Amino acid sequence: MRGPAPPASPEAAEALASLDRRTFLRFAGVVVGAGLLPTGCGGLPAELTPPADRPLAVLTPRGFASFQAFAMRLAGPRVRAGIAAGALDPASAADAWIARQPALGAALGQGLALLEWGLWPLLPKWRPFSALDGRGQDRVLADLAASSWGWKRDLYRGLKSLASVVVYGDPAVRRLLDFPAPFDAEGVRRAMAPFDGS
Amino acid sequence: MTEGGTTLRADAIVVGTGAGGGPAAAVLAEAGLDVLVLEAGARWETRDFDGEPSTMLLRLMKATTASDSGMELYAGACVGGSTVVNDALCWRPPPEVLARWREEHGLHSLSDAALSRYVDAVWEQVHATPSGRADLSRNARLLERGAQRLGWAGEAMPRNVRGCAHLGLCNLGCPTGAKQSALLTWVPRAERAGARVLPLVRAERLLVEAGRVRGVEARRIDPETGRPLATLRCDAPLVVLAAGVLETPALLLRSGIPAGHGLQFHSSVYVTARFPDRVDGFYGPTMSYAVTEFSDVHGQRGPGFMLENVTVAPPTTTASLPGFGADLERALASLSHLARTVVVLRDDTRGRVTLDRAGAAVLSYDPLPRDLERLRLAIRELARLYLAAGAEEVWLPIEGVPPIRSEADLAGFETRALASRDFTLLYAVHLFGGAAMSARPDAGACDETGKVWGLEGLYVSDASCLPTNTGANPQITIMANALRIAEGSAASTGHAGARAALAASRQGERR
Repeated sequence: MRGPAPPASPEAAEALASLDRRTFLRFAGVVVGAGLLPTGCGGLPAELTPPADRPLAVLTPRGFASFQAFAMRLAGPRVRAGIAAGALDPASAADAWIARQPALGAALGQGLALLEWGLWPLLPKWRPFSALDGRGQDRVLADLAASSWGWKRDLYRGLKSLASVVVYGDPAVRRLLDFPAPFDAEGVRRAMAPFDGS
Repeated sequence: MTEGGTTLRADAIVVGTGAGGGPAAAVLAEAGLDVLVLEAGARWETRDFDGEPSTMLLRLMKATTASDSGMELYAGACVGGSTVVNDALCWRPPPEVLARWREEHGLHSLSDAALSRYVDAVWEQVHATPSGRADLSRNARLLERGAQRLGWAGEAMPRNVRGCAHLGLCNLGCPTGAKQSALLTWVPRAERAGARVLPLVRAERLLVEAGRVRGVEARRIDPETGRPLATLRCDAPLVVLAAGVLETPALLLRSGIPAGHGLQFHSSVYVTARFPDRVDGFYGPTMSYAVTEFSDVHGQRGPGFMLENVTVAPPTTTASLPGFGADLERALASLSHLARTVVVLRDDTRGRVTLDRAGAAVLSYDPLPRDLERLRLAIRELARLYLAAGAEEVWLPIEGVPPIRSEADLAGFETRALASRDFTLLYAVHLFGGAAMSARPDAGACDETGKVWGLEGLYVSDASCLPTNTGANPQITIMANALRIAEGSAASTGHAGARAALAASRQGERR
């Protein structure tokens, strides 16, 4: 197999460097390289842009955008609105989490690069993931979750697991769920009360 | 220990402060040895535990994945190790497991009788206490109700707590100090006997010379970033490894010592159910009731899994539910009506620990088809149980499977192909092996005293040295075995105090 086509941006070069490790990922690299020029690498909406006051430890700005977009589609409309409004910032939380889990950092970087830059026939899209509309992003998530390719399901499961921790572990998510707080005495009393007749 | 030109030495070094390291440190220090205890994680106290997953998961736990199956693996990463983040469940070592260790692995000294004095000592130290009905949350009672309606065996599980407030935070660091983790029991006991605990010091490799261990080369860890800092040299003629299965086998391998075989887990998946009544499953003891009908230990003859109720914490509940977006939000809209149970499978699968080019552990563990089939059976039976208990909907941990509303809905699940990647969340927190005890040097890293074959002064006392999984939550077994190994290792030093302490311990046993 020949090597990947020349990348069109420094971020794509970084993505390709990490993608170059396995055969299927090399294949992905070819597709990425060939597809970058027509897809472009335009600016990102505000909710997908890293906060200017906190440098990222592990994620690239583009990886930040991909993860934030994934988390927004994983969560339902209410939580998504919270992320869009800036009340929740799962990508920053994921960056902090992965910085303390070195065993997972490389895999996350590869996975996010693939999610962002992988194009048809690898993934059902012709543009970077973070540039798709909601329906297009949902199509990608559904494809990953149901794929017959094990690596796609691994990617979906890994990103979902991390996004679940950082989205639903955030105190700000509580007002969107029926979960008052860790120390709610009335809630504890209710939880320990037997059901009627038991 | 050498740091910036300063050298300190000790009689013994213990690497790790959890279920395997805490008891070992206490025994060695009380035997009169000068003990250094190295812990890669930070030291957090009860006052630091705020119940917030966003901070506690980051501070207290480490995660990795199996390189082949993608299975998620978790362990504690702080002073107290996994005992700080476990669910406080206490099972005595199953006699069937000990029998297998004797018969198949030649560990003849591990009889029920020989181990019982260590188990009793552990039981008392960690205040293992039977759970009463008042300790069963609604979440637990729904599991119990379903088991009773189906005529299945089950029981409330003993827990190591004092005055539990039922906050549902056992595995985020108990904020009231009720859970008697190693942080509150073994580690202070070791310190009272003079042990020096060094948090944020990661053992990198063992120093070995002329067939005996001489110490440990370690690195200080930056508490903010987790990155390694200065190198330390710690010298001691006795080293006890208890860094957990994610680290102990890798430490041996980095030191050129054969290890890594015989990895075994309890594979786990969650099943979630929605009930018409409020459950508030995010409160109450995180776990307290087990269906033992399908277990193959403690006298049961089932296919080898337990079903244990588990907290409905939002992060892991979300990860284990199938679907995303509006589907996920619909399920989470009834969070306070959800009950949840974890399958704890006694795997047959074996895996292996190797090193990557940077010297970090790589765990390969690909569940065998027969283990996947037993997981299928467990999930199906759990769905039946929840339906019998009155659930309106049951979510199986499989992507693409719609919620189950009647037993007839299970037909499709029973016939579909099942691979490890089909699960929404397949994980393990009970990790065993990688440096197992065996009667033969070609079959394990250690002999039955926990001493590493062919090296004087080097012992393993954590779950790495257990030759198989245990079929039940393992903290008591690990602690009892650690006491046994530490007592023997102390005696091997020839230290007069250690010999006297050992003799007194055995005399006390005879009385």
